[in-house]
Amino acid sequence: MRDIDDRELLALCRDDHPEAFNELVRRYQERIYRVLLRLVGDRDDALDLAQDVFFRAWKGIRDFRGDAQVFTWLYRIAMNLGLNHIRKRKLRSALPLHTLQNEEPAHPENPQHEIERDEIRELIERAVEKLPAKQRAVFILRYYDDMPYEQIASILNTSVGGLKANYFHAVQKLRNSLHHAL
Amino acid sequence: MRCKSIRYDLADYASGRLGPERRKTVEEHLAVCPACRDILREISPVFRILHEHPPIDGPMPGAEFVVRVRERIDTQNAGRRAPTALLANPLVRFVAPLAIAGILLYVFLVPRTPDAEVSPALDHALIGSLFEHMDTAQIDRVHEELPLVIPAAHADAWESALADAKTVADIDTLLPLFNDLSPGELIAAGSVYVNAEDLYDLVEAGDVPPLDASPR
Repeated sequence: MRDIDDRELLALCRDDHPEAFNELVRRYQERIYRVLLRLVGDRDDALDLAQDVFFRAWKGIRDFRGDAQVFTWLYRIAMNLGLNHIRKRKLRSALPLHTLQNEEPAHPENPQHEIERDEIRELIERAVEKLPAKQRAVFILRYYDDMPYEQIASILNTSVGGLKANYFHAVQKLRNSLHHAL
Repeated sequence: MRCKSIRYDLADYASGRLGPERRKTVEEHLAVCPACRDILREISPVFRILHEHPPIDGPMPGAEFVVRVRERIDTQNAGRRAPTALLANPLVRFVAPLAIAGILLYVFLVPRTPDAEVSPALDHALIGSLFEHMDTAQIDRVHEELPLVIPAAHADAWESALADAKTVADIDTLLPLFNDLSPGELIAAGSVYVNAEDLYDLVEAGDVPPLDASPR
């Protein structure tokens, strides 16, 4: 099952092959979770939303015409759910500093340096959170996912020109938010 | 080469994501355009700091993630099967068509007031009174947060009115954009009622003044 490509996997999913959809989930769960984590800034919410993405994918799998790549389709569902989530909840808190410190390896040789790094990392997260929802989505897909504009356009159903403008304005806003740390 | 066509590539240039051809075009422009050089100088440190401080994602979802998704699917499947089992009961098979016919008769024959399904708590007047208490920066903030729920047919007028607005009175010109539509049309157009709920979220978050704020 791991060796077959996405299109074959999709065909098996449509035929209700019991293991095919599980493989689809396993194949994309990390990417979908990671992009949602960046977008909503909360691990539990990102996990719930990621599950929701695959549940909706399962419900819509027969309607998916296969004219986009599977992961573009999954990303589209993820971004729709994620954007709706942040618009509704207006999340202001992301990963708290203590959570990050608990998960980072200890650096006893230079703890002060590591704390400063954590603080800057948190500043970055806050700055990204402050971006308007769509600019945040574009920034995350372009910078963190290194995704081509054409693919982002397909996911967010918008034009490449508009995306470039969104990305540029997002970076300018980050610059303003982070100017003390630059 | 016009600055605008170059400017939107500067972020990709600064992060090393432009192809060689486009990169050459941008560099040729930068050589003769101090304004774009200034912008590049401003945004370049953003990518340095992002590069030096990549986010820490923590643990990724493991094998239990598939199990949870599968449980949800199975629950849904069980829910779908339940009515089938129910219809095996002869009494249900007799009563169900009568009940459905009754509901249809009620829906189509009982007169009702237009738009009766819309909650009065989210009507146009309340949206209007929210806007009346906002300054232009707050309106901009609402606009930034909620750009996609403005009905498409009104998006241009909304953008144009916002761009020209200098006073609260100017903002009032936005209100007919909502008032001209019936609640049913608004819902069909993408739901200003969702928009109104989001506006109330913004009020709760303290980003715009509450409804009982004194008029400015």
